Amino acid sequence: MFAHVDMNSYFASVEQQANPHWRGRPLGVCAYLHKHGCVIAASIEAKKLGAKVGMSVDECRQVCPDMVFVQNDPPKYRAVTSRVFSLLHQISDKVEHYSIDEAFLDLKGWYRDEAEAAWSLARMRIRIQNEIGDWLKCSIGIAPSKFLAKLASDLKKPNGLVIITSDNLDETLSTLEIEDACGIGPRIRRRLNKLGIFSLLELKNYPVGNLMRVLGKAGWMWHERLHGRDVDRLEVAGERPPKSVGHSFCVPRRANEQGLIFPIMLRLAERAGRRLRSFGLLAKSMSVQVGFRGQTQNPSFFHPFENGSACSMAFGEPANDVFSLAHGTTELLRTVWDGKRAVSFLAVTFHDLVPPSGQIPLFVPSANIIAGTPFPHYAWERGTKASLAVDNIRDRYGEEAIIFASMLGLENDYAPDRIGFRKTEGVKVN
Amino acid sequence: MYQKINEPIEAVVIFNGKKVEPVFFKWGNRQYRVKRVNLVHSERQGRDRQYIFSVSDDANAFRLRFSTETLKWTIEETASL
Repeated sequence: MFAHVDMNSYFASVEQQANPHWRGRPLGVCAYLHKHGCVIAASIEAKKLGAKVGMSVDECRQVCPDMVFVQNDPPKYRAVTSRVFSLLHQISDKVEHYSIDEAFLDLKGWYRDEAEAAWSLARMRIRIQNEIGDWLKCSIGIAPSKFLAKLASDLKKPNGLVIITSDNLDETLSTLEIEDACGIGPRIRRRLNKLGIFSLLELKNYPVGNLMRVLGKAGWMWHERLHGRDVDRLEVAGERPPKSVGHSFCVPRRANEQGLIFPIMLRLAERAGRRLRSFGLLAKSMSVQVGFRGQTQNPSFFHPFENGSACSMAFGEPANDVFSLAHGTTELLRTVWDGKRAVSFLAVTFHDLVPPSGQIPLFVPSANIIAGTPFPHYAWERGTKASLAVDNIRDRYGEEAIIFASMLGLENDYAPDRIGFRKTEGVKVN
Repeated sequence: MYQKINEPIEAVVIFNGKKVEPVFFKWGNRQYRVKRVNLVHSERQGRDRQYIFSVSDDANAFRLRFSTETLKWTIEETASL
Protein backbone atom coordinates (compact mmCIF):
# COMPACT_ATOMS: atom_id res chain seq x y z
CA MET A 1 0.00 0.00 0.00
CA PHE A 2 1.35 3.40 -1.03
CA ALA A 3 0.35 7.01 -0.43
CA HIS A 4 1.10 10.11 -2.44
CA VAL A 5 1.02 13.52 -0.78
CA ASP A 6 0.87 16.54 -3.07
CA MET A 7 0.95 20.09 -1.70
CA ASN A 8 -1.59 22.21 -3.62
CA SER A 9 -0.36 25.36 -5.44
CA TYR A 10 2.65 25.04 -3.21
CA PHE A 11 4.86 28.12 -3.72
CA ALA A 12 1.81 30.40 -3.94
CA SER A 13 0.27 28.86 -0.79
CA VAL A 14 3.53 29.36 1.13
CA GLU A 15 3.60 33.02 0.07
CA GLN A 16 -0.05 33.41 1.11
CA GLN A 17 0.82 31.75 4.40
CA ALA A 18 3.61 34.29 4.98
CA ASN A 19 1.42 37.25 4.04
CA PRO A 20 -2.24 36.86 5.10
CA HIS A 21 -3.29 39.91 3.05
CA TRP A 22 -2.65 37.86 -0.13
CA ARG A 23 -4.96 35.05 0.98
CA GLY A 24 -8.05 34.64 -1.13
CA ARG A 25 -6.51 36.80 -3.87
CA PRO A 26 -5.02 35.66 -7.17
CA LEU A 27 -1.26 35.42 -6.70
CA GLY A 28 1.55 34.36 -9.03
CA VAL A 29 5.05 33.34 -7.97
CA CYS A 30 7.50 34.29 -10.71
CA ALA A 31 11.00 33.25 -11.63
CA TYR A 32 11.74 36.92 -12.38
CA LEU A 33 9.57 39.98 -11.70
CA HIS A 34 9.51 41.14 -15.30
CA LYS A 35 6.69 41.33 -17.83
CA HIS A 36 8.23 38.34 -19.65
CA GLY A 37 9.00 36.52 -16.37
CA CYS A 38 7.50 33.05 -16.16
CA VAL A 39 4.89 32.28 -13.48
CA ILE A 40 6.12 29.10 -11.78
CA ALA A 41 3.19 28.79 -9.38
CA ALA A 42 -0.30 30.25 -9.35
CA SER A 43 -2.58 30.35 -6.32
CA ILE A 44 -5.83 28.37 -6.30
CA GLU A 45 -7.76 31.65 -6.80
CA ALA A 46 -5.62 32.58 -9.82
CA LYS A 47 -6.10 29.14 -11.38
CA LYS A 48 -9.87 29.54 -11.04
CA LEU A 49 -9.64 32.77 -13.06
CA GLY A 50 -7.66 31.09 -15.84
CA ALA A 51 -4.03 31.81 -14.91
CA LYS A 52 -1.77 28.83 -15.50
CA VAL A 53 1.74 27.83 -14.54
CA GLY A 54 4.10 28.64 -17.41
CA MET A 55 2.32 31.81 -18.52
CA SER A 56 4.27 35.07 -18.55
CA VAL A 57 3.41 37.92 -16.17
CA ASP A 58 1.89 39.86 -19.09
CA GLU A 59 -0.31 36.92 -20.15
CA CYS A 60 -1.53 36.45 -16.57
CA ARG A 61 -2.39 40.16 -16.29
CA GLN A 62 -4.57 39.83 -19.39
CA VAL A 63 -6.70 37.04 -17.91
CA CYS A 64 -6.53 38.32 -14.35
CA PRO A 65 -5.85 42.09 -14.03
CA ASP A 66 -5.87 42.09 -10.19
CA MET A 67 -3.25 39.38 -9.88
CA VAL A 68 -0.38 40.01 -7.44
CA PHE A 69 3.11 38.83 -8.45
CA VAL A 70 5.98 37.96 -6.13
CA GLN A 71 9.47 36.69 -6.83
CA ASN A 72 10.22 33.14 -5.73
CA ASP A 73 12.04 32.63 -2.44
CA PRO A 74 13.78 29.21 -2.57
CA PRO A 75 15.04 29.07 1.08
CA LYS A 76 11.47 29.66 2.29
CA TYR A 77 10.04 26.79 0.22
CA ARG A 78 12.88 24.43 1.19
CA ALA A 79 12.36 25.23 4.88
CA VAL A 80 8.60 24.53 4.67
CA THR A 81 9.20 21.34 2.66
CA SER A 82 11.70 20.17 5.31
CA ARG A 83 9.04 20.55 7.99
CA VAL A 84 6.33 18.84 5.91
CA PHE A 85 8.62 15.93 5.02
CA SER A 86 9.69 15.61 8.67
CA LEU A 87 6.03 14.98 9.55
CA LEU A 88 5.74 12.41 6.74
CA HIS A 89 8.77 10.55 8.08
CA GLN A 90 6.81 10.01 11.30
CA ILE A 91 4.21 8.01 9.36
CA SER A 92 6.48 5.62 7.46
CA ASP A 93 10.15 4.67 7.36
CA LYS A 94 10.19 4.70 3.56
CA VAL A 95 9.49 8.13 2.10
CA GLU A 96 10.46 9.16 -1.42
CA HIS A 97 11.06 12.91 -1.80
CA TYR A 98 9.63 12.97 -5.31
CA SER A 99 9.81 16.75 -5.70
CA ILE A 100 9.83 19.93 -3.64
CA ASP A 101 6.06 19.56 -3.05
CA GLU A 102 5.35 15.85 -3.48
CA ALA A 103 6.28 12.68 -1.63
CA PHE A 104 5.48 8.98 -1.86
CA LEU A 105 5.12 6.87 1.26
CA ASP A 106 5.43 3.10 1.40
CA LEU A 107 2.85 2.14 4.05
CA LYS A 108 3.44 -1.61 3.88
CA GLY A 109 3.44 -3.12 7.36
CA TRP A 110 2.41 0.11 9.09
CA TYR A 111 -1.36 0.04 8.68
CA ARG A 112 -3.90 -2.80 8.55
CA ASP A 113 -6.01 -1.34 5.78
CA GLU A 114 -6.65 1.77 3.68
CA ALA A 115 -9.07 3.24 6.22
CA GLU A 116 -6.46 3.19 8.97
CA ALA A 117 -3.86 4.75 6.63
CA ALA A 118 -6.38 7.41 5.58
CA TRP A 119 -7.08 8.27 9.22
CA SER A 120 -3.35 8.65 9.93
CA LEU A 121 -2.72 10.77 6.83
CA ALA A 122 -5.73 12.98 7.58
CA ARG A 123 -4.27 13.60 11.04
CA MET A 124 -0.93 14.42 9.44
CA ARG A 125 -2.70 17.00 7.26
CA ILE A 126 -4.21 18.62 10.34
CA ARG A 127 -0.73 18.70 11.91
CA ILE A 128 0.65 20.47 8.80
CA GLN A 129 -2.03 23.13 9.20
CA ASN A 130 -1.58 23.47 12.97
CA GLU A 131 2.20 23.30 13.19
CA ILE A 132 3.43 24.77 9.89
CA GLY A 133 0.73 26.92 8.35
CA ASP A 134 -3.05 26.98 8.31
CA TRP A 135 -3.16 28.05 4.64
CA LEU A 136 -1.19 25.03 3.41
CA LYS A 137 -3.32 22.40 1.71
CA CYS A 138 -2.44 18.97 0.41
CA SER A 139 -4.10 16.24 -1.63
CA ILE A 140 -3.62 12.66 -0.57
CA GLY A 141 -3.95 9.51 -2.65
CA ILE A 142 -3.85 5.97 -1.24
CA ALA A 143 -3.59 2.95 -3.55
CA PRO A 144 -1.88 -0.43 -3.99
CA SER A 145 0.88 1.06 -6.19
CA LYS A 146 2.84 4.30 -6.57
CA PHE A 147 1.30 5.05 -9.95
CA LEU A 148 -2.29 4.67 -8.73
CA ALA A 149 -1.53 6.65 -5.55
CA LYS A 150 -0.39 9.60 -7.69
CA LEU A 151 -3.42 9.22 -9.93
CA ALA A 152 -5.66 9.23 -6.83
CA SER A 153 -4.13 12.37 -5.35
CA ASP A 154 -4.70 14.22 -8.64
CA LEU A 155 -8.42 13.38 -8.64
CA LYS A 156 -9.53 15.79 -5.95
CA LYS A 157 -7.84 19.15 -5.46
CA PRO A 158 -7.44 21.05 -3.21
CA ASN A 159 -7.36 19.17 0.11
CA GLY A 160 -8.71 15.89 -1.29
CA LEU A 161 -8.26 12.37 0.02
CA VAL A 162 -8.96 9.60 -2.49
CA ILE A 163 -8.51 5.86 -1.99
CA ILE A 164 -8.23 3.50 -4.94
CA THR A 165 -8.72 -0.21 -4.24
CA SER A 166 -9.31 -3.20 -6.53
CA ASP A 167 -13.07 -2.65 -5.95
CA ASN A 168 -13.24 0.89 -7.36
CA LEU A 169 -10.27 0.72 -9.77
CA ASP A 170 -12.31 0.16 -12.96
CA GLU A 171 -14.88 2.75 -11.99
CA THR A 172 -12.12 5.34 -11.37
CA LEU A 173 -10.22 4.56 -14.59
CA SER A 174 -13.37 4.78 -16.72
CA THR A 175 -13.72 8.47 -15.85
CA LEU A 176 -10.17 9.36 -16.85
CA GLU A 177 -8.62 10.20 -20.18
CA ILE A 178 -5.32 8.70 -21.29
CA GLU A 179 -3.30 11.86 -20.72
CA ASP A 180 -4.47 12.04 -17.09
CA ALA A 181 -1.90 9.34 -16.34
CA CYS A 182 1.50 10.67 -15.26
CA GLY A 183 3.94 9.67 -18.02
CA ILE A 184 1.54 9.65 -20.97
CA GLY A 185 1.86 12.69 -23.22
CA PRO A 186 0.44 13.65 -26.62
CA ARG A 187 2.79 11.33 -28.57
CA ILE A 188 1.86 8.13 -26.69
CA ARG A 189 -1.79 9.20 -26.68
CA ARG A 190 -1.78 9.47 -30.47
CA ARG A 191 -0.24 5.99 -30.78
CA LEU A 192 -2.80 4.55 -28.38
CA ASN A 193 -5.68 6.33 -30.16
CA LYS A 194 -4.63 4.54 -33.37
CA LEU A 195 -5.17 1.26 -31.49
CA GLY A 196 -8.68 2.39 -30.54
CA ILE A 197 -7.76 3.18 -26.93
CA PHE A 198 -9.34 6.39 -25.64
CA SER A 199 -9.60 5.92 -21.86
CA LEU A 200 -7.43 4.46 -19.13
CA LEU A 201 -9.95 1.65 -18.60
CA GLU A 202 -9.62 0.67 -22.27
CA LEU A 203 -5.83 0.72 -21.89
CA LYS A 204 -6.11 -1.52 -18.82
CA ASN A 205 -8.26 -4.07 -20.64
CA TYR A 206 -6.17 -4.08 -23.86
CA PRO A 207 -4.28 -7.38 -24.41
CA VAL A 208 -0.78 -6.97 -23.01
CA GLY A 209 0.89 -8.79 -25.94
CA ASN A 210 -0.56 -6.36 -28.47
CA LEU A 211 0.40 -3.43 -26.27
CA MET A 212 4.00 -4.67 -26.04
CA ARG A 213 4.18 -4.97 -29.82
CA VAL A 214 3.42 -1.23 -30.06
CA LEU A 215 5.13 0.22 -26.99
CA GLY A 216 7.71 -2.47 -26.14
CA LYS A 217 8.59 -2.90 -22.48
CA ALA A 218 6.68 0.30 -21.66
CA GLY A 219 3.50 -1.46 -22.84
CA TRP A 220 3.96 -4.17 -20.20
CA MET A 221 4.72 -1.52 -17.57
CA TRP A 222 1.50 0.38 -18.34
CA HIS A 223 -0.48 -2.87 -18.22
CA GLU A 224 0.93 -3.73 -14.80
CA ARG A 225 0.50 -0.18 -13.44
CA LEU A 226 -3.15 -0.04 -14.45
CA HIS A 227 -3.79 -3.42 -12.81
CA GLY A 228 -2.52 -1.97 -9.53
CA ARG A 229 0.70 -3.98 -9.48
CA ASP A 230 3.74 -2.16 -8.16
CA VAL A 231 6.39 -1.91 -10.86
CA ASP A 232 7.82 1.50 -9.95
CA ARG A 233 10.55 1.36 -7.34
CA LEU A 234 10.24 3.70 -4.37
CA GLU A 235 13.45 5.71 -4.22
CA VAL A 236 14.25 6.58 -0.64
CA ALA A 237 15.87 10.03 -0.22
CA GLY A 238 19.57 10.11 -1.08
CA GLU A 239 19.60 6.54 -2.37
CA ARG A 240 20.34 7.38 -5.99
CA PRO A 241 23.01 9.95 -6.88
CA PRO A 242 22.16 12.59 -9.50
CA LYS A 243 22.95 11.94 -13.17
CA SER A 244 23.94 15.53 -13.84
CA VAL A 245 24.25 18.83 -12.02
CA GLY A 246 23.74 22.20 -13.67
CA HIS A 247 22.55 25.76 -13.37
CA SER A 248 20.97 28.12 -15.89
CA PHE A 249 19.97 31.76 -16.13
CA CYS A 250 17.93 33.95 -18.52
CA VAL A 251 20.25 36.88 -19.17
CA PRO A 252 18.64 40.34 -19.15
CA ARG A 253 19.50 42.94 -21.81
CA ARG A 254 21.41 45.17 -19.35
CA ALA A 255 23.89 42.34 -18.56
CA ASN A 256 24.91 42.32 -22.24
CA GLU A 257 25.31 46.08 -22.26
CA GLN A 258 27.49 45.94 -19.12
CA GLY A 259 29.64 43.06 -20.45
CA LEU A 260 28.71 40.64 -17.67
CA ILE A 261 28.40 37.42 -19.68
CA PHE A 262 31.66 35.84 -18.49
CA PRO A 263 31.13 36.73 -14.79
CA ILE A 264 27.56 35.35 -14.93
CA MET A 265 28.81 32.15 -16.58
CA LEU A 266 31.44 31.79 -13.85
CA ARG A 267 28.81 32.22 -11.16
CA LEU A 268 26.70 29.49 -12.78
CA ALA A 269 29.74 27.18 -12.80
CA GLU A 270 30.48 28.06 -9.18
CA ARG A 271 26.91 27.33 -8.05
CA ALA A 272 26.75 24.04 -9.95
CA GLY A 273 30.27 23.12 -8.76
CA ARG A 274 29.33 23.67 -5.12
CA ARG A 275 26.37 21.33 -5.52
CA LEU A 276 28.55 18.78 -7.33
CA ARG A 277 31.08 18.79 -4.47
CA SER A 278 28.28 18.59 -1.87
CA PHE A 279 27.28 15.24 -3.45
CA GLY A 280 30.93 14.11 -3.20
CA LEU A 281 31.00 13.40 -6.94
CA LEU A 282 33.35 14.18 -9.81
CA ALA A 283 32.30 15.07 -13.36
CA LYS A 284 33.80 13.26 -16.33
CA SER A 285 32.39 15.77 -18.80
CA MET A 286 30.65 19.12 -18.99
CA SER A 287 28.68 21.23 -21.42
CA VAL A 288 27.76 24.87 -21.88
CA GLN A 289 24.60 26.10 -23.61
CA VAL A 290 24.12 29.64 -24.90
CA GLY A 291 20.91 31.14 -26.32
CA PHE A 292 21.02 34.31 -28.38
CA ARG A 293 18.59 37.21 -28.61
CA GLY A 294 16.19 37.00 -31.51
CA GLN A 295 15.68 33.26 -31.18
CA THR A 296 12.22 32.01 -30.32
CA GLN A 297 13.50 29.24 -28.02
CA ASN A 298 16.53 28.68 -25.84
CA PRO A 299 18.65 25.52 -26.14
CA SER A 300 17.40 22.88 -23.76
CA PHE A 301 19.13 20.06 -21.91
CA PHE A 302 17.45 17.51 -24.20
CA HIS A 303 18.14 19.41 -27.45
CA PRO A 304 21.29 21.38 -26.65
CA PHE A 305 22.37 21.93 -30.22
CA GLU A 306 19.05 23.39 -31.37
CA ASN A 307 18.00 27.02 -30.92
CA GLY A 308 21.42 28.37 -30.03
CA SER A 309 24.92 27.13 -29.44
CA ALA A 310 26.20 24.41 -27.20
CA CYS A 311 29.54 22.79 -26.69
CA SER A 312 30.70 19.93 -24.51
CA MET A 313 34.01 18.43 -23.50
CA ALA A 314 35.43 15.59 -21.44
CA PHE A 315 37.88 16.14 -18.60
CA GLY A 316 41.10 14.11 -18.88
CA GLU A 317 40.52 13.02 -15.29
CA PRO A 318 37.14 13.39 -13.51
CA ALA A 319 37.14 16.76 -11.77
CA ASN A 320 35.12 18.80 -9.31
CA ASP A 321 37.61 21.43 -8.16
CA VAL A 322 36.81 25.12 -8.59
CA PHE A 323 39.63 25.78 -11.05
CA SER A 324 39.04 22.91 -13.49
CA LEU A 325 35.30 23.65 -13.63
CA ALA A 326 35.77 27.41 -14.06
CA HIS A 327 38.48 26.95 -16.66
CA GLY A 328 36.44 24.41 -18.63
CA THR A 329 33.39 26.70 -18.51
CA THR A 330 35.17 29.80 -19.81
CA GLU A 331 36.96 27.84 -22.55
CA LEU A 332 33.69 26.34 -23.75
CA LEU A 333 31.98 29.74 -23.65
CA ARG A 334 34.80 31.18 -25.80
CA THR A 335 34.21 28.34 -28.28
CA VAL A 336 30.48 28.98 -28.72
CA TRP A 337 30.28 32.77 -28.30
CA ASP A 338 32.11 35.38 -30.32
CA GLY A 339 31.83 38.01 -27.58
CA LYS A 340 29.59 40.26 -29.70
CA ARG A 341 26.18 38.63 -30.14
CA ALA A 342 23.61 39.53 -27.51
CA VAL A 343 23.06 36.56 -25.18
CA SER A 344 19.65 35.70 -23.73
CA PHE A 345 20.32 32.40 -21.95
CA LEU A 346 23.28 30.69 -20.28
CA ALA A 347 23.55 27.22 -18.80
CA VAL A 348 26.28 24.92 -17.59
CA THR A 349 25.87 21.19 -16.92
CA PHE A 350 28.27 18.64 -15.45
CA HIS A 351 27.60 15.10 -16.69
CA ASP A 352 28.83 11.52 -16.20
CA LEU A 353 29.17 11.87 -12.46
CA VAL A 354 31.35 9.37 -10.62
CA PRO A 355 32.53 8.97 -7.03
CA PRO A 356 36.25 9.63 -6.40
CA SER A 357 38.42 6.59 -7.14
CA GLY A 358 41.03 7.58 -4.54
CA GLN A 359 43.76 7.07 -7.14
CA ILE A 360 46.28 9.91 -7.54
CA PRO A 361 47.27 10.14 -11.22
CA LEU A 362 50.94 10.56 -12.15
CA PHE A 363 50.20 12.97 -14.96
CA VAL A 364 46.91 14.79 -15.30
CA PRO A 365 45.90 16.54 -18.47
CA SER A 366 45.41 20.16 -17.48
CA ALA A 367 41.95 21.58 -17.03
CA ASN A 368 42.46 23.15 -20.43
CA ILE A 369 41.63 19.94 -22.27
CA ILE A 370 41.34 21.87 -25.51
CA ALA A 371 45.03 22.76 -25.37
CA GLY A 372 45.76 19.29 -23.93
CA THR A 373 48.90 20.21 -21.97
CA PRO A 374 49.64 17.67 -19.23
CA PHE A 375 50.83 18.86 -15.83
CA PRO A 376 52.22 16.89 -12.87
CA HIS A 377 50.09 15.44 -10.11
CA TYR A 378 51.30 17.86 -7.40
CA ALA A 379 49.71 20.75 -9.31
CA TRP A 380 46.45 18.79 -9.47
CA GLU A 381 46.69 18.06 -5.75
CA ARG A 382 47.30 21.73 -4.97
CA GLY A 383 44.23 22.69 -7.01
CA THR A 384 42.08 20.18 -5.13
CA LYS A 385 43.30 21.41 -1.74
CA ALA A 386 42.78 25.05 -2.68
CA SER A 387 39.25 24.18 -3.84
CA LEU A 388 38.56 22.53 -0.47
CA ALA A 389 39.83 25.65 1.32
CA VAL A 390 37.55 27.84 -0.83
CA ASP A 391 34.56 25.68 0.15
CA ASN A 392 35.50 25.92 3.83
CA ILE A 393 35.64 29.71 3.61
CA ARG A 394 32.21 29.78 1.94
CA ASP A 395 30.74 27.41 4.53
CA ARG A 396 31.90 29.79 7.22
CA TYR A 397 31.41 33.25 5.75
CA GLY A 398 28.85 32.81 2.95
CA GLU A 399 28.81 32.05 -0.77
CA GLU A 400 30.18 35.40 -1.88
CA ALA A 401 32.99 35.55 0.70
CA ILE A 402 35.57 34.38 -1.85
CA ILE A 403 35.01 34.74 -5.59
CA PHE A 404 36.91 35.06 -8.86
CA ALA A 405 38.14 38.61 -9.44
CA SER A 406 36.07 38.94 -12.62
CA MET A 407 32.90 38.37 -10.54
CA LEU A 408 33.57 41.41 -8.32
CA GLY A 409 30.61 43.74 -8.20
CA LEU A 410 28.24 41.24 -9.84
CA GLU A 411 24.81 41.88 -8.36
CA ASN A 412 23.03 39.12 -6.45
CA ASP A 413 20.11 39.02 -8.88
CA TYR A 414 22.35 37.65 -11.65
CA ALA A 415 22.20 33.83 -11.57
CA PRO A 416 20.49 33.63 -8.15
CA ASP A 417 19.65 30.51 -6.14
CA ARG A 418 17.02 28.57 -8.09
CA ILE A 419 14.48 25.98 -7.15
CA GLY A 420 13.40 23.11 -9.38
CA PHE A 421 10.19 21.14 -8.91
CA ARG A 422 12.03 17.80 -9.09
CA LYS A 423 14.95 19.01 -6.97
CA THR A 424 14.87 18.25 -3.27
CA GLU A 425 18.48 19.16 -2.45
CA GLY A 426 18.75 21.28 0.66
CA VAL A 427 15.57 19.74 2.08
CA LYS A 428 16.61 18.34 5.45
CA VAL A 429 14.47 16.03 7.52
CA ASN A 430 14.57 15.90 11.34
CA MET B 1 2.07 48.34 -1.51
CA TYR B 2 5.31 46.40 -1.25
CA GLN B 3 8.60 47.88 0.00
CA LYS B 4 12.10 46.49 0.48
CA ILE B 5 13.65 48.07 3.55
CA ASN B 6 16.62 46.33 5.26
CA GLU B 7 16.83 48.52 8.35
CA PRO B 8 17.75 47.59 11.92
CA ILE B 9 14.91 47.37 14.43
CA GLU B 10 14.46 46.73 18.13
CA ALA B 11 12.24 43.78 18.98
CA VAL B 12 10.56 42.37 22.06
CA VAL B 13 10.11 38.59 21.92
CA ILE B 14 8.51 35.94 24.08
CA PHE B 15 9.86 32.44 24.62
CA ASN B 16 6.83 30.23 24.22
CA GLY B 17 7.86 26.63 24.92
CA LYS B 18 10.33 25.77 22.16
CA LYS B 19 9.32 28.77 20.08
CA VAL B 20 10.53 32.35 20.04
CA GLU B 21 7.98 34.86 18.80
CA PRO B 22 8.31 38.62 18.30
CA VAL B 23 5.45 40.52 19.94
CA PHE B 24 6.49 44.15 19.42
CA PHE B 25 9.08 45.89 17.33
CA LYS B 26 10.22 49.47 17.02
CA TRP B 27 11.02 50.77 13.57
CA GLY B 28 11.83 54.44 13.17
CA ASN B 29 9.86 56.26 15.82
CA ARG B 30 6.90 53.91 15.68
CA GLN B 31 6.09 50.84 17.66
CA TYR B 32 4.33 47.96 15.89
CA ARG B 33 2.42 45.22 17.65
CA VAL B 34 2.66 41.79 16.02
CA LYS B 35 -0.79 40.26 15.77
CA ARG B 36 0.25 36.99 14.10
CA VAL B 37 3.40 35.09 13.32
CA ASN B 38 2.45 33.52 10.00
CA LEU B 39 5.59 31.60 9.07
CA VAL B 40 9.05 31.07 10.49
CA HIS B 41 11.91 29.71 8.44
CA SER B 42 15.67 29.82 8.56
CA GLU B 43 18.50 30.45 6.12
CA ARG B 44 22.22 29.96 6.41
CA GLN B 45 24.73 32.57 5.34
CA GLY B 46 28.00 30.83 5.99
CA ARG B 47 27.90 29.68 9.61
CA ASP B 48 25.36 32.37 10.50
CA ARG B 49 21.90 30.84 10.85
CA GLN B 50 19.30 33.52 10.36
CA TYR B 51 15.64 33.17 11.30
CA ILE B 52 13.04 34.90 9.19
CA PHE B 53 9.70 35.73 10.78
CA SER B 54 6.81 36.57 8.46
CA VAL B 55 4.49 38.51 10.76
CA SER B 56 1.47 40.74 10.34
CA ASP B 57 -0.86 43.18 12.06
CA ASP B 58 -4.31 44.21 10.85
CA ALA B 59 -3.06 46.29 7.91
CA ASN B 60 0.54 45.28 7.15
CA ALA B 61 2.73 42.23 6.70
CA PHE B 62 6.40 42.38 7.67
CA ARG B 63 9.43 40.21 7.12
CA LEU B 64 11.77 40.33 10.12
CA ARG B 65 15.22 38.70 10.21
CA PHE B 66 17.15 37.64 13.30
CA SER B 67 20.84 36.79 12.96
CA THR B 68 22.14 34.26 15.48
CA GLU B 69 25.71 35.47 14.78
CA THR B 70 25.21 39.17 15.49
CA LEU B 71 22.02 38.77 17.61
CA LYS B 72 20.48 41.68 15.67
CA TRP B 73 17.02 42.17 14.23
CA THR B 74 16.35 43.67 10.80
CA ILE B 75 13.13 44.56 9.01
CA GLU B 76 13.50 43.47 5.39
CA GLU B 77 10.16 43.98 3.72
CA THR B 78 6.75 45.37 4.33
CA ALA B 79 3.58 44.86 2.35
CA SER B 80 0.30 46.62 3.02
CA LEU B 81 -3.17 46.33 1.61
